[in-house]
Amino acid sequence: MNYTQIWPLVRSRIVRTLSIISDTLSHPMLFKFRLQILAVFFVSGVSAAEVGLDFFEAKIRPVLVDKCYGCHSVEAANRGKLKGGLFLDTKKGMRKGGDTGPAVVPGNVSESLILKALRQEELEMPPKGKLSDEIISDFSQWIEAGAIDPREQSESKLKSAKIDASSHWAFQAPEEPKFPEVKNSNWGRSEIDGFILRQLEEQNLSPVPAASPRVLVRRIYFDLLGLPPTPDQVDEFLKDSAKDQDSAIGNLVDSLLKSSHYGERWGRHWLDVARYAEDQAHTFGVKKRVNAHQYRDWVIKMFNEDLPFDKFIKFQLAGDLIENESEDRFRQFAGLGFLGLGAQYYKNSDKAQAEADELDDTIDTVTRGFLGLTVSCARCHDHKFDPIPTRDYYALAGVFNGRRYSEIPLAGEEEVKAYNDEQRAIKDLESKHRSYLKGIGKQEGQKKLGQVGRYLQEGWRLVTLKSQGVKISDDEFAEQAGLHRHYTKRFREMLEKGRKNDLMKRLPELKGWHEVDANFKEKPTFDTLKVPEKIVELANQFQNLVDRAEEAFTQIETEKAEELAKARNLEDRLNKIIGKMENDQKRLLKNIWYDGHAPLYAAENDAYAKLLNEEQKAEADRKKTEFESLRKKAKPKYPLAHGIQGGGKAMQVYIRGNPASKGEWVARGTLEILENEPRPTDPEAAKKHPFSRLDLAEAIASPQNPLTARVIVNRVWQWHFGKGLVTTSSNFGLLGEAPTHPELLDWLTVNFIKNGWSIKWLHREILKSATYQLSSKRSSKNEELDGDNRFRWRFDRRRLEVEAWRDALLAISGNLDPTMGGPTIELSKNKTRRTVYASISRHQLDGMLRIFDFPDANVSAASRTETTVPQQQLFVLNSDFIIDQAKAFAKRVTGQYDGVPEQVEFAYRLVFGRSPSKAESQVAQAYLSIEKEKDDKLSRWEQYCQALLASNELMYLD
Amino acid sequence: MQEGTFDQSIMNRRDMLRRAGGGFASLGLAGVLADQGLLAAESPLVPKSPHIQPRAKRIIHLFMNGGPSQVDTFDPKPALEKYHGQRPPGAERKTERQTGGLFKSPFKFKQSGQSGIPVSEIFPEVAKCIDDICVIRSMHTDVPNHEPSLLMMNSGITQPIRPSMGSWLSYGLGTENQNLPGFVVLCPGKPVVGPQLWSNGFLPGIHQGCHIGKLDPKKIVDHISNKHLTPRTQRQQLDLINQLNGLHSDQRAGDDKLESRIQSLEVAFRMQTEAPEAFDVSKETKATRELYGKGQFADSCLAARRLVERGVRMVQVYFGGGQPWDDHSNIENGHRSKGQQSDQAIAGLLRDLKSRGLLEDTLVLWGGEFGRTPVSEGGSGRDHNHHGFTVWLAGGGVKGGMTYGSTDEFGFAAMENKVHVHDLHATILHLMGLDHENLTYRYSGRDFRLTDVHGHVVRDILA
Repeated sequence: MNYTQIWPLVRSRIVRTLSIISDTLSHPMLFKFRLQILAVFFVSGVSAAEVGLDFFEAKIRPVLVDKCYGCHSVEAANRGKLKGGLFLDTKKGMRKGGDTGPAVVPGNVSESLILKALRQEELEMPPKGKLSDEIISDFSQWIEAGAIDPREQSESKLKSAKIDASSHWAFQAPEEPKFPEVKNSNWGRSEIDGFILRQLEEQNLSPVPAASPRVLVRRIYFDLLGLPPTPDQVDEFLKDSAKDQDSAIGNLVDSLLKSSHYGERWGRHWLDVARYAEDQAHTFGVKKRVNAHQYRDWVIKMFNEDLPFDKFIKFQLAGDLIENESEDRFRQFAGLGFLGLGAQYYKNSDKAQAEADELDDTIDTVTRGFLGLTVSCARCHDHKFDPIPTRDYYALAGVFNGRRYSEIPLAGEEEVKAYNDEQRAIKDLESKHRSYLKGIGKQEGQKKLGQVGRYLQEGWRLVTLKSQGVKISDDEFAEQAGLHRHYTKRFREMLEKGRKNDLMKRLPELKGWHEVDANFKEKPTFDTLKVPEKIVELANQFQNLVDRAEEAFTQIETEKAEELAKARNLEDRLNKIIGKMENDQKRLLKNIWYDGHAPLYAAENDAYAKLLNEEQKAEADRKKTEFESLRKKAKPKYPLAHGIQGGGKAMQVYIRGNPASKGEWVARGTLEILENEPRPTDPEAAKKHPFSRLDLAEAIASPQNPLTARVIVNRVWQWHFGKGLVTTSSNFGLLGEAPTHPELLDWLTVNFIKNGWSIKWLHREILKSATYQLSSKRSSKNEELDGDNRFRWRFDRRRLEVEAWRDALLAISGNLDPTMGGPTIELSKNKTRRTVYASISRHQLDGMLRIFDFPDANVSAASRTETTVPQQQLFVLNSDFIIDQAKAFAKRVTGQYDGVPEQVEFAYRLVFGRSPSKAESQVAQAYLSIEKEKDDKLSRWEQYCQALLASNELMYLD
Repeated sequence: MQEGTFDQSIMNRRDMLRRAGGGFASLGLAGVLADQGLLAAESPLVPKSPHIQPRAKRIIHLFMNGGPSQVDTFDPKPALEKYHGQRPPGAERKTERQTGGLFKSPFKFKQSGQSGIPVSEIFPEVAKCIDDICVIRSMHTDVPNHEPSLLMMNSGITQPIRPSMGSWLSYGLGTENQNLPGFVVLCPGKPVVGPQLWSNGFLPGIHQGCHIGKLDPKKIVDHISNKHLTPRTQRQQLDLINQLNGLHSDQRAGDDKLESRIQSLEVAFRMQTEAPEAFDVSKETKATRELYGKGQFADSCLAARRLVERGVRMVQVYFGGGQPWDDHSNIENGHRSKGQQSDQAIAGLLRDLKSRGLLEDTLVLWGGEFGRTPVSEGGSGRDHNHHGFTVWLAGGGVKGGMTYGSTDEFGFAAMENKVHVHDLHATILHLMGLDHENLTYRYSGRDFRLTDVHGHVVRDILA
């Protein structure tokens, strides 16, 4: 190629005939050459920049537009499709690069990530397939030549990604609203009703009539206790209610809130949020947390005590940092199970990632649970919708980073020390006893060192006899040969063919042992079998080696007598001597006498059973009895709770959530939108900025926090009504639903705080309202306008949660065991305790809980899904559990009354809290009068009772 | 059925229940409704429309848990022969354990079928089906340990517990037979990791894989059989329940929840007979049973065919409990015997599906959670290898008789046309009619996907 050839090309570029350029310049060599001769053309008025510009337009821009803009441009960002924070549609964007660094470093090909991506070295771009080598080479040359790029501005305008936090309702402090004016002043029993009614009137809806007292009493029992009322409890309420319904309800609510079963019901609601579980998600080396129930019991107890909710938060996040309030360590520490029972992941393959995932579990549970914000979304990128930047995530993560999962004693220091001392004393005695036995074993073995050759020869005979099919036991052989039975057996085991490899590795001195052939015309016997010469020779040689090793042993014993006198016991003394021997002899003695696999070894139980004389046995027994009786009498171990300790190491942002790719330092803190002062940004200051778990707990539990109180008030509403005023009860962010009744939510929130964050105050307010007491009946007029009952014109009929349903079955059958607290039970085994005490597994949830929509305990659950599937009905039709309850129920009913009508009446009162209708009585009579079939194992009464338990009326609460 | 008829049927049915009185006539209507697709008005398992035209309606995953060696099965490497015993530069890649020099395959390979794709001698029958098989030789995953890799292969992430692919398919597509679970896992005992591998994660519980440990038709679904009543009496009892529920519903007209539970009880009743039948391989002809051969794995393959034939969306057949293909030592004996135990059954399944016309819309996936190293471990075995391994697909919309992608000279790492597990998932979902970017579930405040933020459909293998 020469000057005259290239000249027309350059000319043509000057007039910007790009189409020609792209054809003629496609050869990379040509382009390189052109760059070299640029200086020559400078005189003709064409600058290097212009040449570069043309090249960009011809070779680079079309590829960027075609292959990259789809995911890396302002236009992509506006569609929400921007990937990796990288803009390739401006010069600035390319130089700045995305999350992983600059895409283009002019003149430096090796640092330009875009080339690595195109060459598919680190990143693989474009994702649909590698571009041609030519194109990649174009990019390389373009960068080498300075990456000339005219694109100062993108063709599209970036929509503002910044969210105006001040405008979103949930970030405003709640204010007590004015009491609403309503038209129908006759309806309503409480403040709540005013807010509800005003919105109903606005929507042209009208409330359905109130539920009957009979429906109400059932509703309230299930709601507050998760149990049905007994027939007597129903009667009592109906009697009171006939006099004065409001006071009857008030009294009922008061008495149920005093029942300790209340905590079992409402504590469980919180446990959904706290993703309570007792084991790990991973299965390798999984350890069940046997003390998990302490947290569950703590939650139940705190609900029963009506611990103010702000304190409830603080105990769970920082119980260990709160100044000691009382001597009650359970109260102070057991709540830390909220953190201490978090996910722990498999750390074998990628520890940093697993630890980051564990932190994520904490942040997700804390922020969705208490604040109703999905902060976990900001782990890899700034939250797409809420004002939560990634640095907020790491500010929070730093508060927990470096924490240790630990078990915290719930007993005082003295009790712990006393227990530990006692246990140590017992262990010492035990280990002395064991050392004694081991020492005897060693000593006895040592005595046999001189007979190794003989044991080898006899061992050969025993192995051979057995391999020839002679029926002789080790003990019989030992007796006839005049050998010790213990060692006879062990030599036989060592010499067996199948263990040849072990033997040769350990005692190569016996090389050739298994190559000695013994052919027999007739089956040999104990008497006829002779030891071949080769074996005799090997055994004798070996005995010599052992003798020499033993001499060396004795020599050390004499020479080091002074030092050995310090040995703790016999075993220790022998260990010390062996340790000083030279390698080959050490190996020999270890493998023939000393180590666990050696034939002259005796384990503790062997030593006791086979080697001890009567006197020694008596001594051993005495020692054993001593520590065993101490152990029996010892104080039981003090209770422990799972919690965490420490934490609070500031973190760097993990770029795109990758622990291996660290960005700026972030000071510990809470969310920026909740903070009054900005966190320090200087790295050194950020590292040192103090902010503890207690600081975080106080920031969350502050009455100034616009979210916390609203979130719990809304949850309580949801647990009473089935859906919250905000239906997304763990997401109050911009993607969550807005409240249907914002003023009511604020009124409740403000007054909840005024009333000392009392959950029981909330219950009373809600339960006394006419809104809560509405019937669940339909209204076609209302349904047309508000089919989902968003505006609460009726009470929604609901399926009982699995716990309430199972507990109801037990209550009705009379099998319910009301014992509270303690270690968990397996539902498949214990068929009488309340369901809240069931063992909850992250990786294998109990089958019944799973099919009845118990939430996945791996993450915080805002609400329960409800599915209706045949597997549930198979449980209802066929499970042992339901059959057991049906039988007990039938027995209870038929045992109490004689005539069928009375029995059916009682059954109805037990299951449904009412009398049967005429039609229902007829159905019962008809069914119970059919004769039992011969092959059926259930009586008609039992079948009938199972049908009542299986009914929709029990499962769905009006 | 026309609009409006549905409501009417419900009304008729309720009337019928009411009028049944003491008659206890068997109710057939619920069954009719179910078969007409009316039953599952609210069931999460009702068949759903796919995003795109599906090429496969169902999938059978033959899971060779433990990790079969690619260089001993479908990815022959003559260079191993040549450099046997030497330590190549690429061998320093991280795997689980210490490894030694290159280790030639103890098995011979034979060019098979029209396509001439080489297959190891341990799979003589599968080799005869190779023209229906697409061998992907350029698979790779993230970690050389079983737990994370098993999770990745099943649920697209190395940490527990996210929904498994079968659960996603059940969620995205529902299932064709309401009397059977939509996702069935056949594994004697349990594989390493266990139930997490077929977990529904945060998807509704009904999408969890139904694990069958032993092919005992009486125990296949929890509580499937009634030990207390004859079928006749149980029918009477169910009619009684229907009557009670009917009277209850009368006063609560139009509550869909109550109605759907009534229907669900009927389905459960029918499931008691249909589900055991579906798992009962003894109902097959002698010829069919011989086609698959004998043994637990063969029976599982046959049961898998019976299940997909009856509309189950995904069946996963594990080679065995634990991690059977994990031959860290003596791979020659280990792989040979596992080949023997599975070769005929796999080929039998492919042939059986084909002869029944099911192969064209049934996708079969064969493979482990990762592959094994071309260098030896302890002289006779191979270590885990996530850098490169082989899986194959057959049927349901993939090209047969082709290989896709390749590993390096020794079979250590995927080089050309690399396919990550996310890409495999994206491709499988695509074949099943789902766009992996649009199959999402909103949970804990964000949309989750099987492929997270990854995955590309491997279009070159689509038929």
